[in-house]
Amino acid sequence: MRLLVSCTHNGSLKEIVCNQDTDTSVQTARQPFSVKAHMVEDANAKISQLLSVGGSLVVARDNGSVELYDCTRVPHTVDSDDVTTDNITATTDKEEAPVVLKPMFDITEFELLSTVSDLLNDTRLENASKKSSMRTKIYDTFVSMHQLPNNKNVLLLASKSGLVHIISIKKNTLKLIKTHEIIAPLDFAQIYDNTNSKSVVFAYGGEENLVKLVKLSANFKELTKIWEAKNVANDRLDMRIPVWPTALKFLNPQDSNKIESDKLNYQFVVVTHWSHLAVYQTQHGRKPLEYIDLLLKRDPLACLEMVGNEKLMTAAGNLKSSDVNDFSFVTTDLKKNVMRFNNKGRLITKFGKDDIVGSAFFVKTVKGKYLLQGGLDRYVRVFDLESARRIAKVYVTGKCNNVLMLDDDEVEIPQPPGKGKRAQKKRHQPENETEQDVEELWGHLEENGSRKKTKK
Amino acid sequence: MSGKNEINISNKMKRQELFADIKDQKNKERHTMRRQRAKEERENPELKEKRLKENVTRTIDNMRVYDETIASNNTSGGNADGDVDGEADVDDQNDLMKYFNTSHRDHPPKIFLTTNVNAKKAAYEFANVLIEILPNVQFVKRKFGIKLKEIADMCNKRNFTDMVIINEDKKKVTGLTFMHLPEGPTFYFKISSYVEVLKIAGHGRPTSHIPELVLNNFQTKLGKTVGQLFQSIFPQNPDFEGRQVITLHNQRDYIFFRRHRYVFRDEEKVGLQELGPQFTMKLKRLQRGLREETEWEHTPDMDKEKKKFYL
Repeated sequence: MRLLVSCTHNGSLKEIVCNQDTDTSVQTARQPFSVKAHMVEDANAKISQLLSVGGSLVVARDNGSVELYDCTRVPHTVDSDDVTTDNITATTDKEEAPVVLKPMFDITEFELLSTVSDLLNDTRLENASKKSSMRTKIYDTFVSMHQLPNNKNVLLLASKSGLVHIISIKKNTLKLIKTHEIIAPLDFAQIYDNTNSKSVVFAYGGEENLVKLVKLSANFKELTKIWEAKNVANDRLDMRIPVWPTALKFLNPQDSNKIESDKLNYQFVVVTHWSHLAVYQTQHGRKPLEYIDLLLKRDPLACLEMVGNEKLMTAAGNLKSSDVNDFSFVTTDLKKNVMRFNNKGRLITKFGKDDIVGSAFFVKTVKGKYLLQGGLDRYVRVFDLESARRIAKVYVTGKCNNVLMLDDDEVEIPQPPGKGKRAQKKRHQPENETEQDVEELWGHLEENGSRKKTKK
Repeated sequence: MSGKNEINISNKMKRQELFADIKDQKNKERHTMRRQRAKEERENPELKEKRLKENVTRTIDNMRVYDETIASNNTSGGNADGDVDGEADVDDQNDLMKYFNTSHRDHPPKIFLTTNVNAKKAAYEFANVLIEILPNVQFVKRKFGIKLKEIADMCNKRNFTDMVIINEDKKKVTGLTFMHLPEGPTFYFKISSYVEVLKIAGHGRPTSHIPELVLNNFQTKLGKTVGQLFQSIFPQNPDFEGRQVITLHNQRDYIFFRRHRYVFRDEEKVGLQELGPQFTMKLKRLQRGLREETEWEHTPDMDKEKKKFYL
């Protein structure tokens, strides 16, 4: 498989080529074929968002620039000192010099095509930073980057400070079309791509910033708020429940007969910093349909990824199902847990238990099959989504805040000649076994059994 | 005394006498062997070198479980591309430089020291000790009702570079929190085996010179981060005429704090005088920012594996 990992310490993007069962923390285990850093800058220019658009890659950095890279695959050239542990040293029967067989694979080279810069604004966050329950100053960053569902050559980027940029990709150049301003601070901006329409709808929210749905007109000129959530009722001590949605994913619209046509029809799931799971139906009202405590100690939750097979997932990670009573999702807390819950808030599995030591900054499901995880403990891990088994674990020297899986193909490891044949010989299976043979065997076994008994 | 040539002597005194004789004989043999070996080695120092090289005691320290974060000078790491190793060094610098203002000439460390809320005598006594150890430190009594964020804001306005909080529980100092300002990270250490100065026999009196700092055995990425914390707290221009050294020695994830004064008696002999106090720290938690996302946390099941160390 081929992974692109963004490292926060030097703003680099690392390309990892590895097979299943790679584990760099064990010396004898399988090691990655290649770990190569690209686009090294400094810590202030760390990559926060990654998106693969056709054959190219769009990268959003924390210094406010968005860059378009051309990706070309070149065969990996083997240096003489380049030792990968999966190399197989084969000696032929005549005891000639050992032949070192190297796995053949490609690595990617990136070429910068176009840049748009100055898309972030820290001063817009000063007020929010003072009010925030975070103790350190909040810096602006890109919270999301999506392709528009109706036009794949247009990107929608949202920043923490509430700037929404529409950027087009034409003839290998990026062009800023329009910038809109929405209420800061943002923790997410999730685009709705379950059904097709001319205009684009996305949801956003953040600390003390209730979930809002906004509609972007087809010519990108206008951004109008179409719906806003309402906070849940006060608790039994009549205290206000704090608001902090941290991630949101859409479901398909309701499809029953009772739909009121004058109301919007959206369904979405939200996790909050105060460890709630909220299920909203805009037909039901502005308050959530369900508001469930996921963790007892109110540990903050950070990410949300829906679980479903490949056909049920959209490009933006939304779930193509309208049933709010049957879904499961993966979320992370700020300690070290990556958990999968069902829609009732019941814990199904924990990923990387006893293995992950730092907070998982980033999780993402891929193809309904894999879960990519990266975070403060400087490892990138790939899990099997269903069984929670770890498929790969690679040390990337820096903290990681975004991972992109380009493909999941295995690199073929060359086998030394002759070895395969010998292995076949060893595995002798009687192919033309008749019933007579079987009877003979049974008879033999029974005879043996009776002999033992008589001895006693 | 067991085995084939076991002698059955029923008289206990006789038995003991015999046993003592045998033991004495063995001791004598050993001593003569050692004397002879020493003599040979005095004549031929290479033999000694060879013996020391061959007979290395296996301790759990040198049998520690492989940790790839140590591997920056270890090329057998298997991580394919040759640039990885060179890059790792740069990584270290970049990563840690961001957190700690190592350019001390411009920003000498300035430390804010306080205790937990409602602290008892033990905490203030420990604060007195820390005031003597830490340079450029200001102690402020902790008041009830001021949030950590507000304290951090006040410290930032007054150009403090670090905040140290003493944690006292049931009239005993149990922990120390180090926060680097303004962006973190936060370290929480458990404190144990505290020996006050007066209890140390032959202790000296410290002077106000800036001490030298010895950091021992911080190997992994996490260990280096911890080492960097101490580097950033002490100024990097020690007063050598003070001849004072602070040692932070890491062994099996416990960090031992010791303070000495040295003297060069002649060209070979060095004298050490302990100044005290002594205490031991154990890293329990490392968090990003000021107590925000956990970067590393000690959990009880980490102690299951005896040969795995994290610092």
